Amino acid sequence: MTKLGMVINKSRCTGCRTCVLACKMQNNVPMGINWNRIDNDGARPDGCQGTYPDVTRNVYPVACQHCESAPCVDNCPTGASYKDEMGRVLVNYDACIGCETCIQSCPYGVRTMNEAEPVRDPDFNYGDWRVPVRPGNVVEKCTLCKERTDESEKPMCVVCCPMKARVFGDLDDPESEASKLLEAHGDTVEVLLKEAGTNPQVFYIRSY
Amino acid sequence: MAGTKRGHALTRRSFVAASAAAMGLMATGCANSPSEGLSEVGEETVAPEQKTAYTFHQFMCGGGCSLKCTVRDGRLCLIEPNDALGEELGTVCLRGLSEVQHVYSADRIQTPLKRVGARGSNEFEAITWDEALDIIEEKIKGIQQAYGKGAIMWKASGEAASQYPNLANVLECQGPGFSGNDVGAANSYDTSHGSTFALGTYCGFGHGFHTNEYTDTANSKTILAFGSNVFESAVCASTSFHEAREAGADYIVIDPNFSTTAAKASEWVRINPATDGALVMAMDNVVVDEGWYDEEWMLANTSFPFLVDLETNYLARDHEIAEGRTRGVPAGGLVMQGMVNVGVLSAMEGMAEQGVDNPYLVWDPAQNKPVSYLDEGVQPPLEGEFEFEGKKYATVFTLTRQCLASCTPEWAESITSVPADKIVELADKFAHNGPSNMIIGWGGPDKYSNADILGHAAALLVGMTGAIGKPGTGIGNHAGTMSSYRPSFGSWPAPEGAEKPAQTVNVVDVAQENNQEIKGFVAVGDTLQQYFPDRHTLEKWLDGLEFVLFIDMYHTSCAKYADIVLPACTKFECDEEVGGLVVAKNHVQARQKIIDPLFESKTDFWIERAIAERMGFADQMPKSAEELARYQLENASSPYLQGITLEDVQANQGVLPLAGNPVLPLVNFADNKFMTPSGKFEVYFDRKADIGYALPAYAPPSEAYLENPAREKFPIVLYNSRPVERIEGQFFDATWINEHSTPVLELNGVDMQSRSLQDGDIVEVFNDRGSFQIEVLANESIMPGNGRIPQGIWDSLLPAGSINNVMNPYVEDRMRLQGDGPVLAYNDTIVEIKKAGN
Repeated sequence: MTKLGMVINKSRCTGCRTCVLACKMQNNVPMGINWNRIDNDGARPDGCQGTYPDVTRNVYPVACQHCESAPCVDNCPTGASYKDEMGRVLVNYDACIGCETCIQSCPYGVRTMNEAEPVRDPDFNYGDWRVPVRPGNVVEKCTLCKERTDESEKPMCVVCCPMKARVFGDLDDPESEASKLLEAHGDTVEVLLKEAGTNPQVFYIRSY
Repeated sequence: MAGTKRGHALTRRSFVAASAAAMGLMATGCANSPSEGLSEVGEETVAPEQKTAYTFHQFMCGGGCSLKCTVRDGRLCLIEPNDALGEELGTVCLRGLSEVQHVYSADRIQTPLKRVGARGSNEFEAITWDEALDIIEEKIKGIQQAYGKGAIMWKASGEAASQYPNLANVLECQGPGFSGNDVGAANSYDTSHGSTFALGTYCGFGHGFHTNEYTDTANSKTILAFGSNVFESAVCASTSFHEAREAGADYIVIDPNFSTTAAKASEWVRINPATDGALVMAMDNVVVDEGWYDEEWMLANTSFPFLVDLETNYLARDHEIAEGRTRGVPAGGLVMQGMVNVGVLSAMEGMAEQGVDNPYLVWDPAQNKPVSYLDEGVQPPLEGEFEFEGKKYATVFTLTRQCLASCTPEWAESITSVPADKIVELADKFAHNGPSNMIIGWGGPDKYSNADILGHAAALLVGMTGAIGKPGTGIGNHAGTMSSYRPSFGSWPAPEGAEKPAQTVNVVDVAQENNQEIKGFVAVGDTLQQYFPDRHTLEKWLDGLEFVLFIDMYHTSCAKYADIVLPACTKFECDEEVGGLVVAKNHVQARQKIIDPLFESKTDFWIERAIAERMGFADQMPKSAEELARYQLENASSPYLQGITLEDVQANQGVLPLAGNPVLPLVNFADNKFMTPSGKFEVYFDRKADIGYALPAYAPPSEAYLENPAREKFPIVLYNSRPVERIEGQFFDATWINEHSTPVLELNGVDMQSRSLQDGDIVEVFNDRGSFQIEVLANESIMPGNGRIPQGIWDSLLPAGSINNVMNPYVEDRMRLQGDGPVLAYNDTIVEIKKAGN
């Protein structure tokens, strides 16, 4: 089996948003929507926790966690949200009725309802030609760059990360770099909202 | 998914029609691969015709990124790192990616413009290139006939200067002289090692670039970073800082604010703004007092054992200085050594007299007399005071000990707020836990009027500990990838018969002194914003000018003051197959044509040539950018460029490693031979002896010090940061970036509360020079008493005014005596803040 996933090094993430723009570009994501964002433990990305000088900053990117037990998939009334054979959570745009049940179900807030008439700047379809142009009034989100990963290319956020903070791979393959990193970091590996029981396939580690 | 059109793929029918339309462009594509990636899904789709080409991004950030660009239907639609550079060097950041939008920005200058309203009113009408060039020719020739050639001055921004190498020559105008940017600390430590020019292997061009390659930081064990925020200002050159942390290095960031880099450091040391010099002087004091210095290294490789004549306070020399030569590196001298042809050299007074021609003296205990420092077998003492033939001498180190005696950690604590025991600990680590690395210069503490003291104190620390010339050591800034091998291309010769008028005034002074000799100004890039703090004084000076020419890609802040505005295209647009070359990341990189110039814009090369034609020098200029690129490679003297051809670069996705197998990473001065007049690491600055600064003496900045009585009225120090989203004044119109970050003033919660301010309020920022309005946000990363704005905010993005309305134009005369000249002290600005309208 193949179970695609990602390991993100929080120590290396500086919150620069390169991955946010890489995703927007690759996937022809219109204005007002981003499939990927920077979180900072409650503060805005440029801010911090605490009171000067006792402050911390804990930035990391958040996109679809491609959960093994994905509530968005479980609750989708039409089967538009599904788990594919490579372990990715995807949306069948033609089956999506825009009911937003999945948006309510996702504890990570990574799904967005698109506009009936999306606004793009620049005003043309940019990005990878293989990425489908979504119809209006459907839900969009990270696909783990399906069109790239189907052809053994890395997701664009991984390719572009200037901090080399992202590692993509097959979690079912013990020889993949991602699996090896998870093995090496053992108990210190984090997932987001572990208590939600979603079993994300996106993991967070620290290298210092 | 049957009903959803797959991707941007076309149906077969529309593909035929579209490809015919696209052929005009495609026929000239660099790497035209219409069938690449072709795959069909179902019956009805095929891959669209696409072209892939490679260009280097604008390099003002120093990132040195070569980008793989995909073009579809004649439009730039995808940017990726150039994979020919491999994973480590193939980089891109959010600014590079934002170009998919930013190239098409609504703020592009689309046609040549002629001013029709009052200067500054921003009222223009579109004119043709011929009309614009007619006016430029008439105005410039008219001014030069009436007032002399030197009545025209030009100033290009750093990057633009490299794109217009001959513009000043063909205009026969004055250069900017001292340009003032980011050279405050560099002034001193560049003087100590003589800058990082090393005969074709040089890295940087003076201006304080680090002596070791940016990747070498991974080899450091102790890193002291003064205000340096590499994770924002040098994104694509910063992974080695992670590597250092992962290897267990002490990575100490000294900064008033909790910067992104401070948040990643092993330790953040808070310091009052503009007091870093006091901190390092106290560290120097500790190193001297505790005997933590490396005596052997100092004797062999520095000027510490040199004798100073106590009557003149000059370094003792074998004989009088020859006429026309100087003591120490003169103003402009650092640039001179690098032979950079960007028109900043005319402040030269002549070169420093070299030690081999007129030796420095040391004390010979065997003969009890001063002897040449070059004499074999002499074992001079590091310390001592001596008398010989009626003259009194002391060694530089003896004077250093004296000058530092009062600079105790307790003294520094009272100025910096850094605890005295922390200062001792920092000195201990730097001296004993090497390799130690001093990251300093450019931005942060550099943009205060006392930055020369910091740079000098830092040079003493490096000189005493020998933290230079070895892996993991060194001093300077990491401005992107600038610290790496950057051999010079052959320069196209300046046109024969062109006059070079004398430098009569520097750009840092011209507006402040309301200079009336300059009658016309040529700005390439938004130099009127970046090099002219104090906008009101600038406006007054511009009012008296007869002609202002402005060349830029975007309608930036100061286009509004121009008589004629010319639209340059971006690095993604070109009218021939290759638009230029650059050396970055130890590679020769080419700028290939990605798309045709948009609107009526033209390439920098085209514009320079068009102006040259009008000024009568066209026959001496290259006819195409390709001809220039070939000339640059064929006439390069550096071994690192030998045998490299344009064809080879083009064939390898526009990037080719340097020739001659350079040793990586670059470590300058590994042989302990410095580029100074003495050949040693020089710590005693003769040039400043007359004013009492041959060794560092602590001086406060012009405004931003705690005891300044004006702080009662203007309690906030306004810090101009260089955030990850922008490059100085660039990218303020990039909508993909602005979705996540718009320019704001950030204040500590304490300062918000005391002014009854809420997040999102529009505030007025003011001092006696003027005011501007901006949105305010609370951020506990900011030290109370400080405000942070991104540097170079466009006037058009502010509710009112310009950030430059409040900026401090003070120029510190001490720095006029040093190689890089005075720094523009943008951060040395104090203001008060109130809710707008109150």
